[in-house]
Amino acid sequence: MTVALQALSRCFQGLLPSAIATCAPDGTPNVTFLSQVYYVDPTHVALSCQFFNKTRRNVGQNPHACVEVLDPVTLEAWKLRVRFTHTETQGRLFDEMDLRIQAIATVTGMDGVFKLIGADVYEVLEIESVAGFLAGPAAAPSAPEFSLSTLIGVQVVSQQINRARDLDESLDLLLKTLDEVCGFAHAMVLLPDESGRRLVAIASRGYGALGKQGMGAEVGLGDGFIGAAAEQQRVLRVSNIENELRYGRAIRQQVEARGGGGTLRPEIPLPGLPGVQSQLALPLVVQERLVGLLALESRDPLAFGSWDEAVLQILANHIAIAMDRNTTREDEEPPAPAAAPGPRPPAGRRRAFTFFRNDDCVFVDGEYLIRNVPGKILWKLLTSYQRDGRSEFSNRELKLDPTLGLPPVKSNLESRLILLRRRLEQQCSDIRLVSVRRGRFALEVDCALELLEKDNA
Amino acid sequence: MASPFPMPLLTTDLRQFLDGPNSIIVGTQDGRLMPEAARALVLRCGEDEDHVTLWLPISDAARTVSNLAVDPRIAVAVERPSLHKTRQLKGVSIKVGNASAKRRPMLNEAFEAFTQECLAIGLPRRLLDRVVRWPATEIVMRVTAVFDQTPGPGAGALLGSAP
Repeated sequence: MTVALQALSRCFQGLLPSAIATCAPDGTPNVTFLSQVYYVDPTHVALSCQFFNKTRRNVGQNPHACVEVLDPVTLEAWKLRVRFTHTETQGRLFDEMDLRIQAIATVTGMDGVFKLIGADVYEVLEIESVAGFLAGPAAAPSAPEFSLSTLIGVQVVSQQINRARDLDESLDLLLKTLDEVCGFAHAMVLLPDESGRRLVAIASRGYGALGKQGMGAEVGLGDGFIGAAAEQQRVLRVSNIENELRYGRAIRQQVEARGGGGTLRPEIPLPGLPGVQSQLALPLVVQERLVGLLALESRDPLAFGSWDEAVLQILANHIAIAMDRNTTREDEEPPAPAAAPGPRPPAGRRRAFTFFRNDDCVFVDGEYLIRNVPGKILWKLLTSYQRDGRSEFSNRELKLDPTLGLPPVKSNLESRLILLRRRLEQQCSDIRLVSVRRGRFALEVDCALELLEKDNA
Repeated sequence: MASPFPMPLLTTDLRQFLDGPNSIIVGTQDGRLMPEAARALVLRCGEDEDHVTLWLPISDAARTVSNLAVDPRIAVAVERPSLHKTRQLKGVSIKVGNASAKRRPMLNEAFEAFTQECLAIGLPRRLLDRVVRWPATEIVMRVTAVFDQTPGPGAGALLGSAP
């Protein structure tokens, strides 16, 4: 059977182990399992080299090899007759393979220990189907994936995103479309915090009760799949996460058994969807500046194909530009008129807020609410409300307030307000931030306030 | 001074591991240094302490069989899927032929154990049930070296070799 390499795309997602046979110059065969074979182009594949090994030595002297791959959907087996051509230690292919390995390494606590040495590139000379390996009629090789629903989703978002009134509406539209049109039910948007070293979830969909707790959840830059994709500003698609982690843990045990445990960090629990099997992390980048990250998750190990990756990257670029434009617009707001005093708070229900100065953290009735810049903003609003009776505020006055520590340009104020608004909705619905008009919002309070400042907990 | 009772190449622990349930790949070459990889269904350690027997689906065994007729050297990678623990055996084939019908129940039973191992890591039964297990090619191999191949810094280490 003549088949194009692209038609075997499912075999290259790393769901089922592949194998490679090589041969030393003296005729001794060698065979080993491979965690993943990478598709490079219509005539080449690549194998990752993390540890110098016999396969590497053999193909350096006798370039011929036989790679067997399995289709994870049909279990059809294919043999690739290949010839080693060269090793890449930098460039796009290396970076893509390295990112994936780095991500597994950080999750399993092996950053710096488990790393890519090189991407070994092989020319594919022949592709053979292993006829008769399976009972029943042979399935046709998988056509390159094409998902009309994903494409329509991109069309919907790109049409509507420019009509959205604010970032909040844009993100809602994005997550709703990903779910209802594209079928990606679990997604979140994260933004870098003011330090630039952490990402904070400001919008999510499909996480149920977990989503409530997850709003405001943080991921360190470089940590795990999401953190690694953000740090490298590269798309990361991981299938069969459970198997990837099992593979990483097997290596970790080997390192520990050889006395290298002291160089390892504890394993990082994966945030997000329990039982997640695949993840697609799409950094939102404008002019090499990370403005956020769109993360999609699924319990289906094959949820995201190369088609989805390519098409959703276009979507991510749209979103990144919209977010950046939004930030620029904030910077160009006209000066706000003097704010009028607002109504006094109603008597009755009482909510106790505590602000901890050491980490700018706000608790409500003894429960954590929010911290950092959004925490400082909330405290400013609450104290202004209680002390001066103010209930309407402008974005501009917040940006000009030196105590909040917002940068003078590209402050991402609106995204901080979105996070604050959503955390209030979840944790303290007696207090709401409501848009009045562009650049202005009102603080609505349905309870009596008790405000207390402390140096630390 | 060498022990008068040298450790067997296939230790009790290793034999227990090799008997499965495992993924198995067989490597050979055609005498012109063109390698071949083929899946095996089952491996069983033999009565002789350095012999193992492999069964390959006949559909994937033709080139392996013809290669072994030219050069009997053979490599076998054995992996426990749930652990990624892997060993590579190297040696020579000493007998190659069609498996006798009396082996069929054992093959079915052993492949069912492998299926259970795969179900535990998320592979659906409907896929594994499609794998053709019969007729099978039987290869008896004398093991001359054992290597650690579990992914990690120790991969490739020689664990034992025949004198």
